[in-house]
Amino acid sequence: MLDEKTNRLVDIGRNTLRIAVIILSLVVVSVPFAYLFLNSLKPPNEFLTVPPLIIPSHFTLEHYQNIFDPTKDTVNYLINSLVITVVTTIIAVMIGSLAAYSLSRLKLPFRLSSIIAFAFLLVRFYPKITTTLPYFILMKDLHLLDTQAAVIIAHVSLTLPFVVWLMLTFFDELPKELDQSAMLDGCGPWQRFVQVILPLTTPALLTAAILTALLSWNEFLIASSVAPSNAKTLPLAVSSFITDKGVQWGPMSAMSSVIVIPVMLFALFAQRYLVRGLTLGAVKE
Amino acid sequence: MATVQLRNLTKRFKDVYAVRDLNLEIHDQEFMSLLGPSGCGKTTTLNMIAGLETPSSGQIIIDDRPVTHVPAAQRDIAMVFQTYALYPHMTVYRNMAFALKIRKTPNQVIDEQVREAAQILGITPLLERYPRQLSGGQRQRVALGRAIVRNPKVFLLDEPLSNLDAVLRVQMRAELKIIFNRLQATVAYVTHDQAEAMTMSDRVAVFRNGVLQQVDTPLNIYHAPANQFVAGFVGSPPMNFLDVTVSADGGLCFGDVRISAPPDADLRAFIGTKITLGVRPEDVHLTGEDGISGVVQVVEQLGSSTLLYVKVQDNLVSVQTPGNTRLNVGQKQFVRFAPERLYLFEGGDGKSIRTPGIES
Amino acid sequence: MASPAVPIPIEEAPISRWQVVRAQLGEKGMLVLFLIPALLVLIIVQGYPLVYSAYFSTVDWSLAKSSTPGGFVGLANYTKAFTDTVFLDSVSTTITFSLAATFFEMLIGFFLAYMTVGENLLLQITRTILIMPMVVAPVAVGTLWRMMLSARAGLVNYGLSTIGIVGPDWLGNPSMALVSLIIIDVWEWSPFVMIIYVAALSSLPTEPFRAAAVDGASRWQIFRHITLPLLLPVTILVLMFRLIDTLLTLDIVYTTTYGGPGFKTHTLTFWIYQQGLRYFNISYAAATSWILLIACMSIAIGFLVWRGRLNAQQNKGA
Repeated sequence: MLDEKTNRLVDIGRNTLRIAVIILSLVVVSVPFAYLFLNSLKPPNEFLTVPPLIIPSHFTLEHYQNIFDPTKDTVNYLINSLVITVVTTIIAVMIGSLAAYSLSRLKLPFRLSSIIAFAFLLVRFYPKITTTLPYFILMKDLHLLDTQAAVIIAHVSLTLPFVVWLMLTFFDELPKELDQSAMLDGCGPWQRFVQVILPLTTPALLTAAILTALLSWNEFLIASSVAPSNAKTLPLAVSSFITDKGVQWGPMSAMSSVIVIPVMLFALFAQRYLVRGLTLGAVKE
Repeated sequence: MATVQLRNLTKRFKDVYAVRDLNLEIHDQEFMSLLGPSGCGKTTTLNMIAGLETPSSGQIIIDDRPVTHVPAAQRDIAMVFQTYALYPHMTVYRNMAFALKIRKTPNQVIDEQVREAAQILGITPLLERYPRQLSGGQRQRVALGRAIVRNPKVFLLDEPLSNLDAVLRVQMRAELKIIFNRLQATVAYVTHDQAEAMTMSDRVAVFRNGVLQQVDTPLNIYHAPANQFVAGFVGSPPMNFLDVTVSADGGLCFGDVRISAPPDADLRAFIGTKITLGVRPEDVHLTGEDGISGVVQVVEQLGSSTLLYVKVQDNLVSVQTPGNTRLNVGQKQFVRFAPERLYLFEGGDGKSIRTPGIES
Repeated sequence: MASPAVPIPIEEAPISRWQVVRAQLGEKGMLVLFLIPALLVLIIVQGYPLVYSAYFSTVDWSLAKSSTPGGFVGLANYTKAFTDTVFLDSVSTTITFSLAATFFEMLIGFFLAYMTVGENLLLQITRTILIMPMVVAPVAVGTLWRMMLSARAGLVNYGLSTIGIVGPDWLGNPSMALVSLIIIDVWEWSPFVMIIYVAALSSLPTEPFRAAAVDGASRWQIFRHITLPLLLPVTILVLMFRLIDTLLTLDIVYTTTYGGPGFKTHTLTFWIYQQGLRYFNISYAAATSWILLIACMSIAIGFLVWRGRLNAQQNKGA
């Protein structure tokens, strides 16, 4: 039948289109990354050739050696970034999931629980530049300027909305009978949280941790304002290769690669609840 | 084991009364069912006994100790939830041991108690499995086991069988009865299934709209219901209700026909008023020409019995007949109500005027 | 069976409010305690600076001139902004950037979602690769594209030259710089739109589609009358996220054009950043940042209300 035939043709057309789109999008996404990684391994004299040399004549690790030279501070920046990310993640996930559990189970008067939850939500949406300056001055007054603590505190507050809302949606989904059952079994809130609720939401907790780590690791605005030198993080270090005298392509590529590669690996694990995390629980997979 | 007393217990949500002025005593070692349609307040009552909800007013006394404001954990009661609420991340063994662990019971004692409970319930082979690896009936047993291990003062069961399929439900019904008899436990059992309430309980408390209607033994609930609601709720197939008028000589006028009232009914106060006549399907009989005439509308062959719906005076009356009855829709039939088996209820609030009662 | 009722000492008073409070204090108190650390962080690190910044916006303070805030000037900082042509240019730059980037991100993101939705392993791997631009540091994205778009040595112009087109100086050309930023943002954030639509598409109920197919609807009709309306709540959400986030773009501007050439790519956040953290015009930066904040909050609240209404409507219909 003719209809049958056209239908099959349409199907073939759709599939071809689909495959073409997928290949094209993969190319568009991966080529810049590949270019970055290749550049980080490229000898310095091959950067400004015309036409550009895509594959370097030989691979060299000199840019990596250059940025991790013990006489330079890059190692410090790396340590700063690691410390800030790890501590931020631990604190944010801990106090965020506790708060989420409380908000999920606690009935406060005047719908206060919803209002507090909403306040966390708003933090996600207002311009951080508004609080950056006063936060800078606050840290200056507290003599915390250019310390890891200043960045950590700010990062915890920035990542809390994600943790709170991600966990809130998971806690809300757990049947309340589990809580009640544990309550009758003799558990107080803390025991319920640790022995019953957390083990049941471990994957979500992990997602929250990875998401928090990504956000903290990548954050630029606040870190750049309160941590200009001693507590400088990697994203700032990258931007510092852009100087008035021009751009140091090699080291900048190497540094960018250092920032990007661990994140890419982590992102593979965060897939599961990434959407729910990024949309603060509003969209569920 | 223990007694439970509820005194003037009331639970109000904003303007709605979930439970209103409830007085109820569950005796030591008694199996008490709280029966009623959904939203009647039976689960709220159970939750208040458990300590999961706080009463708006009134008192709860367990074993002579007022516990109205004692936290759930300290009331020494165990609850089986409709959804079982097993801890998905713990094995059956750990599920059952959890409450004892929290209470810092020595491991050896825990082990003994878990194994004993597992044996009673026949789930010993399942102890190392996780809840998700169990069937519905097995989960049900684990939920029970979790309660039994605790050796609590009172067992609270919230519709524990309603998530099981019909066959398993009937089977578990009998098993539960045996288990709780053996444990000599005090049990409050919430259900909307009158068959469960009737078959398992020492006494049944019937609820409606948050108000306790009647507390009595299953047979008394059946044969001497306090009012029309209880009479209609208990019994399957349900009781027939017919509007009748009491005539001057104490007879009952049902449309064009006259039904003689039970001889022991004192209807002098109701002469000329409308009252409700109740008759259970098993008390309606097909007779020869001396009965009330009607036409068969529906024939339901259940096997063990056949249920007929006969149109009598514009009312559908259900009639339970032997399973081998062969009748067709449209056939004319005559029915007769056994006079000593009639129930009579007041027209307004449905309070019982006369019930058959049980011979003592 | 019936045991004699044992006389029980009646508790004093039917129920006092205090008794209820005392009984629940242990349970509730603990839960309140759980909430406090996060709440403190929220109040001290976000709430307090917010109020502080509102205060700055009404005084006259530049760190370059004085280390302490000056006198109260009312709304002078705000009115100044509305006559400051650089600021106003930056507003229009930001709006252009935001609208264009959001538009293309929604379009491309949705299309990609439609193409890559499915549980097939290859599709999952594809999606994993496609989300990389959004998970890496925006600063890295900036540097990456700085290399890609470099006029002479960049890969993009090299690619164009192989098909005979002489590419522009993307980041240096006044008419191309903003376009470049839009391209970068679209590259970075279309995947965000994509994964959300993938999630939404895969969790659509199947019944309406079967019903429509049985009713004889064509593929296009099903898409138009069933898929799109069912996706509306998610669309509102994604739009909100992208509109607000594009209004606040800073990192890629900082690392690619640094606002240039001239003021061509001074987005609002970048402009405020410069005012506040480079020139230390605290008051002026605070006032303009509040203008931005009000815009963002209006968008957020507007979209949330829209979504709430939609939910209410659909629930009523159901």
